[in-house]
Amino acid sequence: MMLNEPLLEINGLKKYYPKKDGFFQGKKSWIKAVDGMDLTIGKGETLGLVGESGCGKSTTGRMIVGLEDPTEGTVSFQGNNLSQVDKRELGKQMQMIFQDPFSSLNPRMKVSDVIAEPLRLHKVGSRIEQQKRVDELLERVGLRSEHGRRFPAEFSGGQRQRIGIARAIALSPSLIVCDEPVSALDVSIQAQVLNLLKDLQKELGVSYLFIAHGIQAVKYISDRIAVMYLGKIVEVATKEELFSRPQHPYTESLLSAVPRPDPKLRGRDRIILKGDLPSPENPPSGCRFHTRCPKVMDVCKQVEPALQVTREGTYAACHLVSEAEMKQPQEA
Amino acid sequence: MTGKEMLRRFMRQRAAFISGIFVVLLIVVALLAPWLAPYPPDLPNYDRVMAVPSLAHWLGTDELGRDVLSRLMYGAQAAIQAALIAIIIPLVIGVPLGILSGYLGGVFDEVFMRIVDGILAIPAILLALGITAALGVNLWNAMIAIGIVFTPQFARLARSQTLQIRSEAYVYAAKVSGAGAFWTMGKHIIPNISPPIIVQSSFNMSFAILVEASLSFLGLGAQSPQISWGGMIQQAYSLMYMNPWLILAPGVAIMLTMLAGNIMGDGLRVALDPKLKKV
Repeated sequence: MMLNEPLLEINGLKKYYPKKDGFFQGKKSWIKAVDGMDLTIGKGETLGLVGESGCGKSTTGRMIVGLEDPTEGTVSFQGNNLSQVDKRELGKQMQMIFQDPFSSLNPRMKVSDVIAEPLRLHKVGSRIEQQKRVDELLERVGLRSEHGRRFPAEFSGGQRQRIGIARAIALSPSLIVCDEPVSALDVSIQAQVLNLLKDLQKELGVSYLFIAHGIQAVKYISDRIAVMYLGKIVEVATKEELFSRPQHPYTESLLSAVPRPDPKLRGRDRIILKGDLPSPENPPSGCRFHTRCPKVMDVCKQVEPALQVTREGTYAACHLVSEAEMKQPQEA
Repeated sequence: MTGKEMLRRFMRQRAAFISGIFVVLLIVVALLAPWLAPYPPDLPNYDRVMAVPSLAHWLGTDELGRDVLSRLMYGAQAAIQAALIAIIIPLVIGVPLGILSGYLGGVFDEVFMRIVDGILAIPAILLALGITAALGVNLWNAMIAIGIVFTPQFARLARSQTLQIRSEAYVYAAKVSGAGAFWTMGKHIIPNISPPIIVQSSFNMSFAILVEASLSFLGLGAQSPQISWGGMIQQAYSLMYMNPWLILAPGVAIMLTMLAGNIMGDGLRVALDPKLKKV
């Protein structure tokens, strides 16, 4: 898929958290949650961001919406650097949907107040207009307007997530960061919520950054998928490309971990990674994946591969890929 | 949960409900003592000194022939006054500072919590002794001292609750939408941390009544002519071998009030916590 105008551009984004080794030890170390990443999200596009827990995908999402300040690097939204924009105004343009539908709604607020909160914060319309908008929103996400008078505790996880979605679209933002919005829901409810998100996208032209830890979860909703490993992007490709021709060994291993319904195919070509995710405090030298990569080469231990264009609209950060790409023109 | 729902949950708990009624009655009696009391509380009647309970004097009379029931009713005024003074200081000073400390974190939090730790090390009665010695012996000064002693508890409670609520997703949602500190604290933090603070207030008020009685017993709380249960015990104490029942009335009043306060606190905890579903 060709990228039309980029809505959001991330350049060299880093987030380091200080780690105290106890009160009396002066030596500080850093947890490198996000360590130099570049990413672009187009208008009306859904970008899936996948990776293991602790790889920095949620931190990335939080930096985009302004909940965290980047240690380094820039996030530009519609051409404006976010560090120079008034964060309070950002809410009109960017919203977030959270993973846990139970902690994402204030238990002491009525549902209509929850949904109206962004409207009130930005003083959109009169009290009556806000109420009207809340009723519309409730119905738009598949609830009834009288549900607004109830408290969050009276709703199921799926319904709560719908309320969270209604709140996120209240100001008609152009980007919504979805931080694992369905992973806390029953499988039967997941599809409903995903369909709702898809329908809303068609209607409102909103872009999604869809964060998930399983590659299968983002397949359904994403246009493009970015794979993250230990604070860095290792591969970005359209959904079709990524699933049919994965380029990075880490992507291959993620794809091989997807359960297959056909028992005859089960267990075949499974790539099982050795060891655990290395600590983001002290990431491996060279390519961060070299400690677990089944195709590791000597160069991987010393030189860090850069994220580069491999095919039209496809990026990967792997020495294998760059070698292959370099050979191809010679043969041709 | 609505207020109605909370009230229903509270009333469903029988012991707590009865305690609640007791506390309400106590307040009514204290407020209406001038009209409810059968005799003026300090009117001596030398014809009926240390009378046993009778129809005319339900709880008997003391060594000056004053009606014990009337004195008990007026004594409730001192108890409630003490409880209110002692709780207002931590609620007005401790809770807001605790919320700020938890919300802002950083240096403010560090410094404030060390001060709180320092206050926490002071024994309640000792501070009350010190303050009354410095400012004069009366109920107000004694209860201000108790209020200061209570403040760290409330500051810590408010802080720890704030720390917990601060990282709830709904607070982040509000921030993403552009909420500032005042909005977040007013709409999200205060409503969600108030239940444990209300519960703690209930416990501390009943404890304050006990401390008031202790101080008045020591002669450091309510001063004559103000009547207090502690003072009544002190007077009866010297006559304990002659008239043991005189000590009984104020003693039982203190005990029941504390018991009611504590049971009510437990009931409020259950009623106000949406997570404790089964009531």
